[in-house]
Amino acid sequence: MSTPPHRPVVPCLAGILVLALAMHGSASGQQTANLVFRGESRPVAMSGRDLFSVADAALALGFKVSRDTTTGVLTLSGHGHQVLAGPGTSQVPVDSRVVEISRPVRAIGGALYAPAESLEKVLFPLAGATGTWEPGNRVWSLTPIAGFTAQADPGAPLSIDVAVVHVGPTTQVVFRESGPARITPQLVASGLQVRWIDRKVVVPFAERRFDDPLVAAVRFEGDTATVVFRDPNSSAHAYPLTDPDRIVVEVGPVVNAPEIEPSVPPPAPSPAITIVVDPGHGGGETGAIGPGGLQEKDVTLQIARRLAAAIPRLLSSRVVLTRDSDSAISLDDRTSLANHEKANLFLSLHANSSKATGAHGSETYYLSLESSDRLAQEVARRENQPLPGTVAPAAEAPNPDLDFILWDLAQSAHLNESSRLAEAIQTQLNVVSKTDNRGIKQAPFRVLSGATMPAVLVEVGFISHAEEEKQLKSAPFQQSVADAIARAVADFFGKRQPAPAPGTGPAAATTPAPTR
Amino acid sequence: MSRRAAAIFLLVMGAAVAGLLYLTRSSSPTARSRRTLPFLRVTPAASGAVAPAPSGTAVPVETVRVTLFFADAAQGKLHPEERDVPKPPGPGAYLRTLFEELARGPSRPGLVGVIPPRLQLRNGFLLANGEVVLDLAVDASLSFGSAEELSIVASLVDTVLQNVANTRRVRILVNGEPVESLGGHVDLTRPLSFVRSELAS
Repeated sequence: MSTPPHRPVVPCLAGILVLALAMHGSASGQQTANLVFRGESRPVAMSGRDLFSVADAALALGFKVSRDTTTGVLTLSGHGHQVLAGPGTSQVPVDSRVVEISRPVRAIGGALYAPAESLEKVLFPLAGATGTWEPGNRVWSLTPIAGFTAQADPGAPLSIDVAVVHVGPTTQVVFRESGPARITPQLVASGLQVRWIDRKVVVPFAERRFDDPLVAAVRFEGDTATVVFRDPNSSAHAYPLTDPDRIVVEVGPVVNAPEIEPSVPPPAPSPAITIVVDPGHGGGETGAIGPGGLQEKDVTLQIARRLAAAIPRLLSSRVVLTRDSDSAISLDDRTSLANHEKANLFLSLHANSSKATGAHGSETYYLSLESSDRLAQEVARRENQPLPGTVAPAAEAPNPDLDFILWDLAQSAHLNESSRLAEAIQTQLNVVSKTDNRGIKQAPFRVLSGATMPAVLVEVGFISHAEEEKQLKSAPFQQSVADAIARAVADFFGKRQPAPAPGTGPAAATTPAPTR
Repeated sequence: MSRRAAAIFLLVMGAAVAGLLYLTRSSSPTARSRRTLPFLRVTPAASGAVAPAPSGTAVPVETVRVTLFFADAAQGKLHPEERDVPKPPGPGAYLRTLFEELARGPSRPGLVGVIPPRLQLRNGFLLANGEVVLDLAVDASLSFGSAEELSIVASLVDTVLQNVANTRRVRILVNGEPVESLGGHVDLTRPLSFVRSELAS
C-alpha cells in the first residue's frame, strides 16, 4: 500500500471533524416535545431523539423542582412524593424506595435528561397519569389513571390501609396512607369522621366491621372515613403521624355520660395480673459466654424458672415464660407472646458481657428512643401534647396509653411505667445481691420496643467477669436474684400479698409458653 | 493505491475519529465527578501532615483528621480519639477507612477497641437521603452481652455520623440482609441516629 501524500490529510481530517461535530451539535440541538396534561400543553426540552429534560417534564406534571448546585441532583416534589434524580445513576430514590430505570439519567449542558420510558415509569404514576409518546408529533398525551379525577386538587390519589388495635382502655384505628395528607376530624352521632382535605382517597372498602370492644366498624364514603363507635358516648380524637404517613384515631371508653345510671360496666373478672418472663437467648443463640464457658442462655433460663416460682408467692398472678426449654425464639416473637397474653409486665432476663474488664454488677434497662428515628421520638413527644384542633377528651387527663401506633413502637406509651419498674428492680437487686449499681439505663433494645405493657430488660450480672460468672452459676445466687426481682414486681404493683394456698386460687400458676 | 482510494480511506478514518469524540463527550468526566455528595465533614489535617508510611520513609499524602470512638477499659463508656488518615477518594472508601481504624483499635492507653476480629465490613454506602448503610459480615460463632453489643453499635454509628458529612442516620445490615439485632439486643430494624448514651460524660 502506497503512503498517501501528506498535505491533503490534515485539512481533510479537520474538515470531516468540523462537519461531524456540527452534525452532532444539530442532532442534540434543542428540539422540544409537548406534554399535554390536564388539558394544558407544556414544552419539554429534548436532547437527541429520545432524551427528555427531567426538570421540564416534572414541571409540566405539576412537581416543584429544585437543583443542588454541588451535586447536580434534582429534587422533584409534589403529589405527596419526593423524587431525587441524579446524573449518571439509574437508581432513582422515590420517597423511601429506590426505582431502577433502564438507562442512567444523563447530564447534558447542565440539565438532566432521561429516556421516555424512565419518565413514564417513575414520574407519571406519581402524578396519577399514564402517557403515550407520539414520536411523529413529538407530543405526549397523558391520561389520568383510574381513580384520579383531572379537575381535582393536584394530589395523587391516596391509598389507605386500615388497622384496628385494642390495647388497655383504648382502641387505635390506624389509617396508613400512601403519602402525607391533611385531615379534619369531626365527631358525629355514630362516631368520629375523618375527612381528607387535600388528597383524593382511593376508597379501600365501603364498610368493614371489627370485633373490638370500642369500635364497631370503619366506613368509607368519598374522602371521608367514619370510625363507628359501639357506644356513641365514647371519646375520640385523631392526629396525623409521619414515617410512614398515617392518621391515628384513638377511641377511649365512655366519658361524660351522666344521664346514664352508673350501672357497672360488664365487670371483667377481677383482672388477674399476668407477668411474662423472658429468658434471653436460647437454642443456637447462646448469648454471651463467660471465661469459664458458662452460657448466658442457660443462666437466664435457670433464673427465669426460679422467678416464675417466686413471683406468685408474693403476688397473686399468673407467670408465663417465653421459653421453658433450650429453644431459639426471635425477639419479636417474645414480645408478641407478652402482647398476646395481655401481660401486665414483661421482664426479659439477660447476663451481660463487656470488653471492659472492670464491668461488673447488675443493670436494669428500659427502652430508649434517643437513637430511634423521628417517628419514635414524635410518638414519645405526643404523650403529653395533644395536637391543637383535635377532638380530645378532657385535656388534663393524660392517657398513659395515649399514643402508640405501630406494634414495634408500642413501648413508647409505657416508658414512664417501665422506668418506675426498672427502678424498683434495680433497688432490690442492689440490696440483696450485693452487686454494684450501674444504675437504671436506657437502650434501644429490640425485645422491649414492641411490648404494650411496662417492660424492662434485667442484666443480672456480668458473665464476662470471672467472679460474677461463678456467682451466676450458683443456685443460691440465682435464687436470691429471682427473689429480689419478685419483691420488686410486688412493690411495683404496690400490693405485696401472700398468694392463696396452692390449689385454692386459679390465679397463681406458672404456665410455660407453648413450644414454638 | 489510487489517490481516490486514499481519500475514501481518510474519510472513513475521520468519521471514526468523530464518532469516538462523540462517545467520549457523552460520558464526560465532569458529569461523573458531580455524582457523589460531599462526604468529608472534617477539615484536612494541618498542612504538612503526612500519613504514616509503612516503609518508614515519609511520603507526603493528603490526610484528613477523623474522630474514632473506643471504650474505656474500666467501664466500657466510649471516648473519642483523633487520628489522621489518608484522604479517601469517595464515601465508600471513607466508610471502609473508618471501620478499619475502629477495628485496628485505640492507641491511647486505657482504651480498648470494641470491634471483634470476626466482625467485618462487607460494604458501606452513603445514600442520597443522608442514610449510611453499613453491611457487616458477622461470624456465626460471635455472641455478645448487651453492654458489648451496645458498644459495637454505638462506636460504629457515632464514628460514622461524627465524620461523614451529609449523614443523619446509619442502617446496619448483616450479610446484606436486614436483621433484628447483632446478638439479641440492640434494635437494628430501624436506622439509628447518634447514640449519646454510650459516650463517657
